[in-house]
Amino acid sequence: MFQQQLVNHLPYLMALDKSKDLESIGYYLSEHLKVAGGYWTINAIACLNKLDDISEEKKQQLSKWLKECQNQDGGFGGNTNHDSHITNTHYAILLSFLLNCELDYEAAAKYVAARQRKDGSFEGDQWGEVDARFSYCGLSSLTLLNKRDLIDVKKAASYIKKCRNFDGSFGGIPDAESHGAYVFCCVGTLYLCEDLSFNIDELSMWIHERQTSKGGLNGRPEKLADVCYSWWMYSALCLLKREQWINQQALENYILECQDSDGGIADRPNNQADVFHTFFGLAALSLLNGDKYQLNPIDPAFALPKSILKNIPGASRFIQS
Amino acid sequence: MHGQSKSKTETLSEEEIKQRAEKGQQILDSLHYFFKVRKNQVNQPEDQLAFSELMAKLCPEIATIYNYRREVLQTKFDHLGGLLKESKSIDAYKQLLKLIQSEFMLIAILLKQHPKSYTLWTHRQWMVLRSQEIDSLINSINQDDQFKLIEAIRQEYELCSKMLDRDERNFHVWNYRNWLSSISAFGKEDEFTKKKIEQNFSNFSAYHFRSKYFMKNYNQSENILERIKTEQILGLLPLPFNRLKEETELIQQAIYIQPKEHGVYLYHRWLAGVVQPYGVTKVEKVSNNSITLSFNRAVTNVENTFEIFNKENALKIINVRVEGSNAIISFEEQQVDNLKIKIHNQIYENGSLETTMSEDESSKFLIPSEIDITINNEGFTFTNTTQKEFQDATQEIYKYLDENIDFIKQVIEEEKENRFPYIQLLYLLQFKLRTQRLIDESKTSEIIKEALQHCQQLKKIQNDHQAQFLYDFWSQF
Repeated sequence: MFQQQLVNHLPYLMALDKSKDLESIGYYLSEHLKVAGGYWTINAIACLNKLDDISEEKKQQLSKWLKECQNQDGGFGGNTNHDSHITNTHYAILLSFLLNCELDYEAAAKYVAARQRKDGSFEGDQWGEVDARFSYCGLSSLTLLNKRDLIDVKKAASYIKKCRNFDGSFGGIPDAESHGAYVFCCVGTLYLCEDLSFNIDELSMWIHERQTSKGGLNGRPEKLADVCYSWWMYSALCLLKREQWINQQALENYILECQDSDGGIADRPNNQADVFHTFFGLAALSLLNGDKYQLNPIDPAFALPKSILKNIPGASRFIQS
Repeated sequence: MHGQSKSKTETLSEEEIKQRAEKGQQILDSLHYFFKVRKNQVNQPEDQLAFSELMAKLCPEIATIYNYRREVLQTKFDHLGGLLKESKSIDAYKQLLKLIQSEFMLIAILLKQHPKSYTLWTHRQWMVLRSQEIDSLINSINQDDQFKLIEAIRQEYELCSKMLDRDERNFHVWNYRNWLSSISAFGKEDEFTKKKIEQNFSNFSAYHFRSKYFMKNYNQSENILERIKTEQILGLLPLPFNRLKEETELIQQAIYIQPKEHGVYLYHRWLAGVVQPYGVTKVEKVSNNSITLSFNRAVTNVENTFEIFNKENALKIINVRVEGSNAIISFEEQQVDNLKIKIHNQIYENGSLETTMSEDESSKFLIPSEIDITINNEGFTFTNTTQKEFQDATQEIYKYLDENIDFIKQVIEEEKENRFPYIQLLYLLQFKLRTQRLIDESKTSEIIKEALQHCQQLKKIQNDHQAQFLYDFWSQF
């Protein structure tokens, strides 16, 4: 019953915004995740090289909605009416490049830059939660908008290095336990800060041990594998040019096994597919063996198609060849 | 959506689907109204807290609801705090307490359903900070009738313990607990992490936070200086040597029980790795304005450790640059023929606090020595002299490493097809190699030879990039 080939995920993705998944309350409760969901869906379609299948009318409609998610303070909420947050502002910027629509980038950049704190870290919003995810959102957003001069890049890097642990990997804040998803945030931030001066071999050893006997990667020692870590950590290996440190074929097979035959990818085999894992699964497959599956090359630092990035002035010099 | 089995979602009756759709519509309608309130497009409800509580219970993960709630709470705190300050109003005091207590209660209920919600944990942290402020306000005006913040924080630890009983790896809880410890001192993290480890030797979160606790508890500058008084040179280790040995026994036991898990080896490696002393092993290069010294391992924070003399005259050091395991010292240019370099351990010799503040946990154990260099036509020769007491301390560490190496070899005997103990052994041999270089450089080849043999074994079990990397690493020597 396990898939050995790529399923056609397009119908699943195209239907996402029509189907109110009435059987799950989760649909309604994810009202605040619409900007993120939009990015995952559209980017997954971009992975499949099918952006043109989205009608012009639909793109216009999405662009109009996205603009309405921008608040007075320049930041974006997760949907219209929601308060601004750096993660949603980052998603909105990414989505705008996928949809090729202009937002008020000037104001967005100001909002993002204002989130940097004295020690170089970034807060999520005015309420002060600090996390390496926000550092990544900050660096990625301002690089894409060519506004890196608004922040202290050196300090941003030095904060991330404080999140590094004795096991060679990274946690979300200083002292926090190392975690696969934060490998992406921290390595991505350091890469964009142009400062990879940490023990890369030690981190590669740690990532190597994240590969489970079934081929998938887990996020921490003694935890279960999950498709999303394929992206979070394999992208980091790509940025560090250490792709060989895991068994790529086994990881590829694992992602294929997590596909639903009706479309969509789940966290683990036989689980419910969702757009989050569908996007990260496809993006990881693009990095692993994109040619084989005719997937659009995705950039490991920005998680956007390289074809789009090369037209973005601030980002082009960071694209990996 | 993590960990949701596909089959579970396919068994709803039509009635149930209808009910859910209704509930869903109710959520959307309520949110719609909430946003109107948020934007002052309709009148504020009479009881804003009750309203936002209802909303929070309906949509526990929507940050905007908590943002609104915090604004309402802050206004109330400011108002009541003002009353308390002006008139010492007992009523205001009681209202403040009630507000704080019921807010903590509400978040606890919501956390039970959503233990991994960043939004909820952030809100709880915000509440702890507010109650700290309110506590100091109460203290400043009324010494007798305290709010008992200490009690409240104790209860927070209780909450963490309960939540970690339900999910021992929930990093949100661990991070919150760790944050609490940074603002208060009732954590008993030593006891707690040990209890969690004994409950389950596979709990890497507990090992992780145990290492953080050790570093904080034993590695403050005052602690180090105090330990030097009682333990002399071994006091430079980031944790007391006896403590380290006890801890090593604990983790060895864990490795015996769980030899196929990654986490136990990581913690063992950390313990064995923090004891690595460092010092100069070689003079690489000498010129009339600079000298390059080679250390036994990569170094940091050695800028203030050198004194240089040319024919007994002190030379002015211009700059010290570190490149991996080399330190390049440049000095005022002059004809040199007999150089003496003194390497000082500022912490040990002078109790210098500045050096002990370094973030690198193993950067304190610098072996002081005196290097004599004679320059002649063919190049230079040097001698490197270390005090006997430092040599003895290094030997003790060497013995500790050897005991651990023996232990891992026993594990290999039982686990011949398991890559973990081999990789561990290679790490320990690397620590040993570095230490050996400080004692007697000429005996390092035996260690390298042994390591290469283990690399070959490892490649037989696991023929992949990691094994090749380790093989290449040892081959370079």
